[in-house]
Amino acid sequence: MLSRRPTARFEAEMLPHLPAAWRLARWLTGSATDADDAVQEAMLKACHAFDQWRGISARAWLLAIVRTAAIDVLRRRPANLVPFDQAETEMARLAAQQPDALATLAARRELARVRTALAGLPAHQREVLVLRELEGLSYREIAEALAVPEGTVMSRLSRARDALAAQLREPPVSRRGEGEA
Amino acid sequence: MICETIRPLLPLLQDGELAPPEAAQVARHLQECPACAQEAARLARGTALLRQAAMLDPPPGLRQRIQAAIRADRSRIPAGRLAWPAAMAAGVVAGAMLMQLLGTAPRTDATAELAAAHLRWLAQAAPIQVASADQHTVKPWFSGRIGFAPPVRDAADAGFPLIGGRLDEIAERPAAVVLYARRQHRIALFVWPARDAPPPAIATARGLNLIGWIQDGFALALVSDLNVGELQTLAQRLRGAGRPASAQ
Repeated sequence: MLSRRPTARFEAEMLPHLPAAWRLARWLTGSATDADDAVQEAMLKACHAFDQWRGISARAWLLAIVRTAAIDVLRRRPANLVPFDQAETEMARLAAQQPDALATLAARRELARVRTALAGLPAHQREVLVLRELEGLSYREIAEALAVPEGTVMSRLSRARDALAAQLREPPVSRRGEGEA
Repeated sequence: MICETIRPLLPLLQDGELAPPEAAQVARHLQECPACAQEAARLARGTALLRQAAMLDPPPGLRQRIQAAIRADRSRIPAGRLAWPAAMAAGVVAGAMLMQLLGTAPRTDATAELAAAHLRWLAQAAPIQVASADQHTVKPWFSGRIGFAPPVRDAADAGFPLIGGRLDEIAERPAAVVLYARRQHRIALFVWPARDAPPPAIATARGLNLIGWIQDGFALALVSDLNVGELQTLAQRLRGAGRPASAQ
């Protein structure tokens, strides 16, 4: 008998992780529309393969597939196309929803600076920060999502945090041409 | 000295990844040491700031669109077309591709990195990936997981039994870690292709001793809290430059 894909179970198990999936794709591709495409592609793939899932964490499994889809989107994107970073538009929408959370201009500038710093990190540092700091995955889950050992996760995370902190210590205006090789 | 060994563990404490005895030890230290407490607070602030800045939400209609796509798709494509092992393999390939596409950051000093990696490993609850005293078990374990064959030699006859291996990263490239024991001490031999980063010659960092050398195109570095004299004995044994004193 052909097995009917357990769509209802899939939706119950995986749809709660949609925001995490979308944020990973968003920070990997740098674009909200590319993230939409990557997540949709990944969800369909995950649904097809759902009956083969044997891992420890549904979330880590899904995020591994999302990551692959995001990288596919990046590879398909024309090399000369630099995505318009929509973070600030998105944040304007968020600010409209929560006027209190982003009350002052200074606070908004600071947060924009953090986003720019994160976007400027190498992708393998960005993804480990997103998975740990935003989504709260355990080292073991991150190891599973990225298909690397836990020791590697710890080393990358440590470097990524240092790199982000270093970026943020820089003055807001970049000192270009000051002996930077 | 104690602060040096505590600092690399602060992120692990924040992330809830320390084994309970180590977590208690670090927490005790934080109560007594304002400098480390300040560093822990800085880490927590960084996480809070990143969450506040980067926690973007998916567009409102996405969930419905995807739900509709899943339900429409269900009638078209046979079940199980994409096997999970294939998806996993795709993930590994994609990882390699990602590194290639986006490059890696510049090199940093291997000494600090080696010491921090070893301390983090010591503090972790389930640390050894392949636990074996047999070099013919440990060596093949690496070959399927890393792009080179690290030299794995037992040194039990010199009093340094092999206990296993694990993987890590040095200079953002994969590194093999061969593990030895000496009394209650753990000794890590990090091995990575020498072109990626030079090893330290002899160094002390975060309360650990390091001895490094280059051999057959590999950079090798022993890292341990063992005294430097005994560590030197193991280094000589592994380099094949000297016989252990007990071997007459």
